[in-house]
Amino acid sequence: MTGLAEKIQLSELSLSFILPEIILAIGIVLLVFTILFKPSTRKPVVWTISILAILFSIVLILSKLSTYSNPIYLFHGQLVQHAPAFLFILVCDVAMLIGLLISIPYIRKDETVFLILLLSILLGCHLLCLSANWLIFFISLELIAIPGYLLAAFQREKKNFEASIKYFVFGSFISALMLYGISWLYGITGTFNFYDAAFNEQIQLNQHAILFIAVCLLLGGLLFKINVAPAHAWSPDVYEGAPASVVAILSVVPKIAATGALLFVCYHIQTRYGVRWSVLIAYLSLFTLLVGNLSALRQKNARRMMAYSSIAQSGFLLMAILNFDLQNLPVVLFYSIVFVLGNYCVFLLILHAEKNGIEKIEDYAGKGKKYFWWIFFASVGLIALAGLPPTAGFTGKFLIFTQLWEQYQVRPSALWLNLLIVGIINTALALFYYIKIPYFAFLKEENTALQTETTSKKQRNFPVLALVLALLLISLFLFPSMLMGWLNSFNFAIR
Amino acid sequence: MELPLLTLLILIPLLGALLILLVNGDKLFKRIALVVGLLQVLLFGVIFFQTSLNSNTIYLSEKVNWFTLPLGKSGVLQTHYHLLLDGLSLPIIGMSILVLLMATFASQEITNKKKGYFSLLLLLNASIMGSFMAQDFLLFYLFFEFMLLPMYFLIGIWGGKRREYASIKFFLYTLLGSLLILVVLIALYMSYGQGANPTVYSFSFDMAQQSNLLQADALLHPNNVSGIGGLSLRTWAFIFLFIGFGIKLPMFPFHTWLPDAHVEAPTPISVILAAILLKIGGYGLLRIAYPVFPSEALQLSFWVGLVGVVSIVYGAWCALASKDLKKLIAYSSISHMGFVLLGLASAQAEGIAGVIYQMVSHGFISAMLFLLAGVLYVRTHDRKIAHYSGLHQVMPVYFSFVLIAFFASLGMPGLSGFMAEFFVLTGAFMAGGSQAIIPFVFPMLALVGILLSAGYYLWTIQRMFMGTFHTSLSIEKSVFTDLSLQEKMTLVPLAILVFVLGLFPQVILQYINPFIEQWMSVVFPASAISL
Repeated sequence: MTGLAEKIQLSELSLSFILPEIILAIGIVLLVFTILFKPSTRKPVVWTISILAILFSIVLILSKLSTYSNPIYLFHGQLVQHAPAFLFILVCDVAMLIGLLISIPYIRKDETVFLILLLSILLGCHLLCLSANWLIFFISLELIAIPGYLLAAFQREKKNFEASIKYFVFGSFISALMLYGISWLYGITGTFNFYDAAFNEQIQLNQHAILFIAVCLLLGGLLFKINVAPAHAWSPDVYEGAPASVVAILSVVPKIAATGALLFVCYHIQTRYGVRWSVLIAYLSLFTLLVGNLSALRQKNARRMMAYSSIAQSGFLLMAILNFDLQNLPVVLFYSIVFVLGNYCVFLLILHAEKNGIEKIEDYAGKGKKYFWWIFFASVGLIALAGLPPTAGFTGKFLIFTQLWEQYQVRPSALWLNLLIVGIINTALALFYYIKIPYFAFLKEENTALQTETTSKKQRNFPVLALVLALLLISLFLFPSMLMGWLNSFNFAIR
Repeated sequence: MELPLLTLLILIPLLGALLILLVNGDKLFKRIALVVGLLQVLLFGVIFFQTSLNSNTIYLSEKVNWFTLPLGKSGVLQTHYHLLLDGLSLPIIGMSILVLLMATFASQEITNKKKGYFSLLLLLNASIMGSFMAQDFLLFYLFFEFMLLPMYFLIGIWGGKRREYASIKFFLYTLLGSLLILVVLIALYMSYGQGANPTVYSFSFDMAQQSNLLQADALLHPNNVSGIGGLSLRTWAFIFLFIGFGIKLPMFPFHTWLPDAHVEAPTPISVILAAILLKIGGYGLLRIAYPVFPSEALQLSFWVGLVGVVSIVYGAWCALASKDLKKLIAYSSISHMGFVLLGLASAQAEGIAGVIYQMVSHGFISAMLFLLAGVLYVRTHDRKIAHYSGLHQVMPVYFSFVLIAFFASLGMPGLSGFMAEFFVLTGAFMAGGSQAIIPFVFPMLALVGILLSAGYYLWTIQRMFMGTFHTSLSIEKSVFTDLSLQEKMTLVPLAILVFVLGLFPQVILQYINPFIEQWMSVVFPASAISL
């Protein structure tokens, strides 16, 4: 019986370690209560609750990071806390915070539901990065996925329902496959805990086709979340159908958490002499880059273009975690941060433009004067996504390519070199569509037929948030060591 | 504390661009841009006279650490903010500052969106200054890459009818080139370092430093025999750099963006494009490709020379067939930039001196040529050669400037173009003669190219300026006014410099020669050539 008491005590102790997650959960519960008991709660209150919850979580994570030394296992190895997970969570939190700030002017009804769903996604992201157990892992992925299905249909229009159903069908199919893969893995290794030393041992002993299939099924679920081709087909439709602010958030937050999780999982699945999973990831990254960029070239709708761009960016994220070396973590984190900032810069414009009836890229023609600052800052974001100086996008890509070259130098295999060259060619390809919005806005003349529709009243509001994001992108380019130095100061061991 | 003069050269246009964004007033923009240009001239004058007594090859240098990036487990990337003025960059910077000022001055044809135009022009100015002075590869690359965006918009917004096509074509070609350079940049950074645990990687153009820092296990070490497709990695790296900078130059198979960009760009932008941006190609080859990969360059001399000669002859041939005055000048630029490659391929001190001389001289000449084409276009909005004849009757002063520019460009002795091409051909004949670095036929063909250029220029003079005045355009004769004071003011300094460089080559050679001596001793020491 002493064992049980000890266990309870341990769990109680563990509780104090997951304060950020508890705060998020409290936030969600509070929001649910406002719907249940006081539906008339005013809009600013619910926004404040959720933003405060995220801010608290950020502060707590930062304080944990500042005193962090070694990984800590919680709840008997169900969760594990280590610096890499904290850093990924931090990026997710910040991304969600910016996403909420961006959405404030554009969500007109059901804000509370909107916020509940988003906070649930964030909670899922937290748990996904922390999970050390396949079941927690699976549940947190579902916690990210299910609110996503609902959010896709948030505006309750026919188009949204179609997107949502598509997303749901794809998503639940992939989840089922993943669960299947997990059950095989359990059968092979005899443990649910993948941080367990026994897990890696068993993987090492069982390098055969069944393991290969099981891992593929497992990775499928994560790759679906990261939006990797060939599991990408859902995203453009969802992006087109769902509300733009939802898209802005869904295109970054879950992706970054899943990238982190993929890194942690692969770290445990890779073995010295077995299947080289990095080769699989390398090919997937190559394929994703090509599919994303080539399809983006043909898009006419700004959002669909961004959907494919985000697929292509996933290719770069995969490239950054390619060798599952935790020492290279700062590179993927840096790239994720740049991706978040750049993506939001662009979505700020898309949100603003859609409010004024501009959806197609062609419709941006001649709007350069009217929405000068919006398009200007969005261009900074687009340049960052494309990876040109003087934005941090260049630094991010430069770091990834440098890392690839380093890998090539250590182990000269043509694959790394090909990947490097394909990556660089894709940078050029990507620019071709990234430049489209500024191209239409500044170089093309306004379509006179359309001009009559849109009232020509001068927009006076200045996108302060976009200014901040763009300034961040430029200052991270000028002084990358600010961020990289900080990221590098942690102990990246996760076991 | 000493003033950071070189940084100021970059900072002044940047501040000017910011100022233009903040102020309002249609006439103010151009004035700010002009003040910036004059300040740069002043600053350059200070630098010029302060350093001319110095016999050192490096005239000015500013260096601070920029940023340090840890790169995984194996090392640290250290970049520097390192600007430098030596015998190579000094003449080119001088030429650029003057041409930029003239281009700003000649911007009267820009009537709409002046704010954007002048701020982009100053951004372009800053990145040009930066790329000719940067000594750290990454810093150079950033300035180099950043030239793309202002140029894209300058052609795309203020260009002619097919401006969108021309600007995107320019953009894609140059981007392709700069990405090839990026591959080599990464490879070079990961090959040069010092110390262990962690290795500090850095790459500067400082040639003396390079040989010390090359890591023994680097893939770009000459001892690394592994290669791809039968060529060593070093050879590939040289080829990448050669194509990357060659696109900018532009050299034969990658030249097609240039005529389009020139024809569509507004006059001042054409001037900057031809006079300055093309030089970055040659500058990059001299500064990076050759010093880092000298033996590969020597091995491939035949191909470099071949591409150069083909550019010379093919460019001249296309110029002969051009019906548009600006297109003719654009093709003549391709032809003249071929001499840069021929001079490099010769691997002789004379040839290299000719390359630098050609870059400076062509800067002035092509600026004049495009300004002159712009003079006609402003009046008639038409540049078809066949539409005019006997212009010397109505525009005599214009005609005399055209004569100077055309003759300078076709290599008339006493003008700057002759000196440059003379040096290059001397080098090429030497290389083709006893040393057999390139076939003897290359300089012979280059001579044919000069002959062709005499052909198209003289033919153009005959068609457009000789005979009795006639125009097939339905416009009044009174439109053909002679040069205005402003136009004269832009052309006279350039014409004077063309004469000065043609008659007193020592003016630049005193800066170039020490540089070349040092360059040759590192890149092509006598032992390497005789092999």
